[in-house]
Amino acid sequence: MGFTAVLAVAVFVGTYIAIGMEKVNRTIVSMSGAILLLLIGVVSLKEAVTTYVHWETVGLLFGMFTIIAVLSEAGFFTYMALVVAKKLDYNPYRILVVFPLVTGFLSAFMDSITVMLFFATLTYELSRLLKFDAIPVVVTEVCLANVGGSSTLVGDPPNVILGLMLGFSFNDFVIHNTPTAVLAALGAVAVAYVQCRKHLVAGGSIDRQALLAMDPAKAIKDTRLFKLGLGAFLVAIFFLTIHAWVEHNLHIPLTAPLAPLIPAFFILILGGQRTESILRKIDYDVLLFFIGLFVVVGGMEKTGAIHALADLIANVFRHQDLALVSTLMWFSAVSSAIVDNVPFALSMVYVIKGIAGQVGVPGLAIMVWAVSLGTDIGGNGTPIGASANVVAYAAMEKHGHRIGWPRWMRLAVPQTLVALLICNLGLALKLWLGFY
Amino acid sequence: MHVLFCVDGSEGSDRALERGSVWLKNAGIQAVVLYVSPEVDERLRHYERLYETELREIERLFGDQGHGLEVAVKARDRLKALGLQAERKVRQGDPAEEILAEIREGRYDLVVLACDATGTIEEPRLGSVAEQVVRGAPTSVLVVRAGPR
Repeated sequence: MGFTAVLAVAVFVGTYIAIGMEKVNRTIVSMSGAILLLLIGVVSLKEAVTTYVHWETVGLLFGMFTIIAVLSEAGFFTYMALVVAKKLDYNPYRILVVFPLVTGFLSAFMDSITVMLFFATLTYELSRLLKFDAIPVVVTEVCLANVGGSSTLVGDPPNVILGLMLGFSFNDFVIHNTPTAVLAALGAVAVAYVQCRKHLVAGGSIDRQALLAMDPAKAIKDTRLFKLGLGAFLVAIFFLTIHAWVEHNLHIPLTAPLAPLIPAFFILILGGQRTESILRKIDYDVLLFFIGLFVVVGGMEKTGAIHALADLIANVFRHQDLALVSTLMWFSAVSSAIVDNVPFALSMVYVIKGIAGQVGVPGLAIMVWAVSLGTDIGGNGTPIGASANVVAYAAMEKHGHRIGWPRWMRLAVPQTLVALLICNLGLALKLWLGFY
Repeated sequence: MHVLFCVDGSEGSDRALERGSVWLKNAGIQAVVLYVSPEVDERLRHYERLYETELREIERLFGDQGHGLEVAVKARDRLKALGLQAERKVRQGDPAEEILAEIREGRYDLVVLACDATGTIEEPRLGSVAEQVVRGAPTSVLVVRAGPR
């Protein structure tokens, strides 16, 4: 390995460690790593811009972030939570089961961090009124948000990366990941109910007046914006579903990133005075984080080190499809509980691309499903395993409810293990049927 | 006498507040109740900045004044019930550092706080916040054991 290759590996490892230590903002870390690689000549600016930075991923994320910003500004999440709570008659046990299913469903299509930012706060507020312990509900909501995020192309950034970089569409994820994710979600929520049903309600008088005064419609701050946002969201999902057919049959370049970008730009044009406020809510930090990471991991890939790792894995698991797929899933799960799942998923793109196509290994698709399920769901295991976990954990602490690692893991690990076991069975079944 | 009561919403700090105020109620004190909110994780702070309006709206909808303010207000009201006039304050940051900063700024004559003290009379062990305040405070500190009698 030449000197520049050694430097590229060092920058890659250093970036990963610095992101994991969380002493410096991760966007600054990833951009610094990228700039360092440019300065030492591992990657040229042209290569970075045209080869390694995957602009489709950045574009798709920008589109989805814009739509979510509009929905948040309009009061969508609060409205959703209050409508559901009212339909459940404000029963804490029903809230324990249904709220996580709601966060799982929403996270299948939206950024789970934003979903959990709002739902952790809303669950805490409801728990104050209804006198139940919010912690088990919030932890279960986070677990289901991560499981839900694994079910579609747009559910979680790792899926966006895996899908777009390796050529898998929204419909591919729906057909192959969604059924497994749904069963995993049901398994996880069943575990949560068994764990928490005896100790959920703290007792004490409930302020029925305050509950009756709670009108979900009051949560909608701007009805026009609410309708625009919901419309844009539904259009984006519709475009994601049909884009491959449109490109192939009508020869209109409706690519996956354009699916949310087109409705997003329509909202910005129609947003009027709200447009500036919407633009301020877009998480540019994450977009820059991705751009930096693409260059850092790309530089690593250029050295051939990732390909060497892929060859090693292919040799070890030759003609052992189930072992390879299961190992990929569990390795992804354990890793994403410890390290940030975005750089991990980006690295795994190159690893499984290197493995696929070799003699005696299964097709690329089944490895994509294994890595996506493992990466997204494994992050549940610890409070730092995913950004949604960090945000929910910190939100509860801010409200005076310190969860602590032991309690988080006691609640989340059983749910996560059951979800992952179900996913492993699902992957085994797919291999056996040859349906992937 | 200017007295600072440090509270954190726990049962222990409630007991310390009650015992301290019973001991001091005839001393003609001016009391301040202080709650220190923990430092918010950087990532949460980032998202709170993006959605500040929406999150405040949720608090308004639910009549939530914020946990810190609620704890401080409750503590102040308990002192009032015992006949003591008190102000309430909320700060954010490292608990021991913020308490010490408040002590320096407020020029208190006495600080009252709880601790989950362990150990023996010969080798007492204070909680970390109580220990830092005792070591760093330029004034007297009354540490009230948080456990039940």
